[in-house]
Amino acid sequence: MSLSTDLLAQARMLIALDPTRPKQVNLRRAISASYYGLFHLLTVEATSLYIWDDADLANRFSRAINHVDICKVSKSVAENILPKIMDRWDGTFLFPQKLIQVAKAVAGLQEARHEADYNLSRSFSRDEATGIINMAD
Amino acid sequence: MAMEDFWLNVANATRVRQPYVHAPDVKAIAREDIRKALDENEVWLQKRSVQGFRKEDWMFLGQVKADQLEQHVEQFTRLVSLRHLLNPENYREELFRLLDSPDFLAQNVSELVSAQASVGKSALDKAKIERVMGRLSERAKPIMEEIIFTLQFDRYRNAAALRVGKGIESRIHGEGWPEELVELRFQTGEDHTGEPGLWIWAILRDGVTDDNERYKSVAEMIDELLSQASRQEAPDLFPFIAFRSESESIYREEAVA
Repeated sequence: MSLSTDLLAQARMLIALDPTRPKQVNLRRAISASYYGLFHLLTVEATSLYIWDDADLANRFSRAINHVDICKVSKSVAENILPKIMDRWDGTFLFPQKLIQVAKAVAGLQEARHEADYNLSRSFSRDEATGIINMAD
Repeated sequence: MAMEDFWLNVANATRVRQPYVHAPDVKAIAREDIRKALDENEVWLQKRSVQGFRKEDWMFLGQVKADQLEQHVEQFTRLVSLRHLLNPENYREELFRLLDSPDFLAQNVSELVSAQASVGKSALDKAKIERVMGRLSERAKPIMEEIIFTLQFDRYRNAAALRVGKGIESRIHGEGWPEELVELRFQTGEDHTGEPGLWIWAILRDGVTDDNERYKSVAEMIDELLSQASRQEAPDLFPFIAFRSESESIYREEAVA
């Protein structure tokens, strides 16, 4: 099992706790874990595209990917907005639907994670948390 | 800004918005709640409560509703202006005469003002003034109630959310409102990166989330509908879409320790 799969499993386990009245702390941790599950999956995949024979360098590379940048790129892909350098190639280019779905999930999960970890003035329901975890799935 | 000004003035004066409650947790505001809030204080009985209204800002509601809103704002302004004229500094014999008239409410403000200018200084009967002011408040109440009901603070958490949300809902109706969807709630603002965002909470019928595979497919379908509608309605706002079930408590569900 990879870290990302484990994080997603942990998220599912947390929302299944407290069958009748879910604790906010479990829902919040579940949302956070599901975001990190997807984040680590993406960083591992992105790293493996460039570095496959040096574990130390791969670790450094993946640590260089930051949340804000990944969010900005994801929003652009989700809205089908190409980086300027690519825009010149073909004005009619569309990202594949699956990639758009992943990009939407990254942006949505990161925002949800931020709310879950820092915004104590709001609450989450079990179905809301499940929906967020489903995005990461 | 006029739209936001009007929206905020109504919200602040009437105190029914539940400003510090997270959008999906806001209790649905029924007419009874509005009446209760208006009964509890008189802060809203002033012209300032509806300041900033410009009909053109509200045309997104449709011609009929924009006309109605304009009419309500005008009626409200007229009534609170009359009420204002009844303060002790404006005691005038002529005003006293007008108050005795059963249809004095039909008199417009300018007539009262000119009458006021032409009369002497004798004081009005205080009890009578209070009675009339009370009557004016009662007349203004259902008008303000209609204004609040139009703004739907429980479903649209700020002025921009109302404009965008109405547009999105109209597009969803045009596509065919999914039977699994009970209602939508909207809020605009900045996301955690500081970029403009639109938060949409889709409230689903009970039972839809019982089976996670069904939940996933319904959520995917509604997410796509909402994403498309929001791209058309508010291309500058990135949509964040979340789901809740109808019967999920609107209040925090904490396990009892």
